[in-house]
Amino acid sequence: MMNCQIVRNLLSAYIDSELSAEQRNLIRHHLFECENCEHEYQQLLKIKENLEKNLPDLSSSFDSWKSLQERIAFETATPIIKHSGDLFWSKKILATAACLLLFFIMATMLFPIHKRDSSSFAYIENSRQSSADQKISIEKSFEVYQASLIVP
Amino acid sequence: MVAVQALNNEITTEQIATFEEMVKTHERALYLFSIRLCGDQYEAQDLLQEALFRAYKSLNRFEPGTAFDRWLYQIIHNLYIDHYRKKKRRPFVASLDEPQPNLETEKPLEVPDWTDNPEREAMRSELDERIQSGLNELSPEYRTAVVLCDVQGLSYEEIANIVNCSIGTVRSRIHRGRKALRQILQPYLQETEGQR
Repeated sequence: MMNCQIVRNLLSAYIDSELSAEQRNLIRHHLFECENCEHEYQQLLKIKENLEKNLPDLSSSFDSWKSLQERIAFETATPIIKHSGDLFWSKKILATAACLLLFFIMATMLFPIHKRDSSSFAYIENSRQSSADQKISIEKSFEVYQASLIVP
Repeated sequence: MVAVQALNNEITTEQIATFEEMVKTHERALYLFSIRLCGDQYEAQDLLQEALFRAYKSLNRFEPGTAFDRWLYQIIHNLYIDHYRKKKRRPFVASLDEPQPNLETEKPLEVPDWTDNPEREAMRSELDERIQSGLNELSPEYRTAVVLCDVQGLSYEEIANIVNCSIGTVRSRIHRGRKALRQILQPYLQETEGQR
């Protein structure tokens, strides 16, 4: 005896005659005894019958051969643009070279290496000079102070 | 014939003649499959045209004697899955400059009714709309499996070969797809049960 779940899963295959003779017999017996499964079977059968019988309206004439001929004529008339391999690669190389060149120009403009070095040396020199001047001025002020102490 | 041969010089005139014959033989089934997948007539026409174009370009790979329609179902399915994934990735964008439609003042489009039995035609059309809206709610994998089985009438093995998966997966997709459809069409099913 088959249970309802198994029978329901096999109902579509039963309707389409896609089961073995043994399975068909078991399902037939089950449907005879089980009202719920019989009801589901009737509804699924109805769905199949409606799909078979109620076909969409095909009265609007569609000539598939003519349509294919038109399509082929269109495809033949449309020029096919093909890229030659060499041209494609040379374009790519040129674009890469242009990008690299632009990058180097920008880098040189933004970070000028030699100028920066010379300016940094000048800065060190200047700072040395200023510290020496500062030292002299301190010494001078000390001398003035001492002189002020001597003078009554 | 010359126009058709223009893009693929490797195929012979006989091959093109056979291809044309096979396209015309399976045209209706292929179009029906495309419509059920897309849910829209114009999208389906585009899908079928693209599929036929791909098939034509790789006609040399088609083995004579094998099922032509199965081969095209496979191409349509793959194209549809690709298209669906792209569509899912690309969100819908509406223009702010575009004028909004004014539903109150807009005149309804008058379409002449040429059918013999308008009432029956209206009922059929309503049911078809319900079925299509139900199918649209299924995932593309489930939809393909259900349509190939119920609309095109293929076996599980044939579907497995088309969608490139196991028979067990096909069985599960069909069952889950039908169960989902049953949920979506529940009000209609109850309505028809009450009419009995």
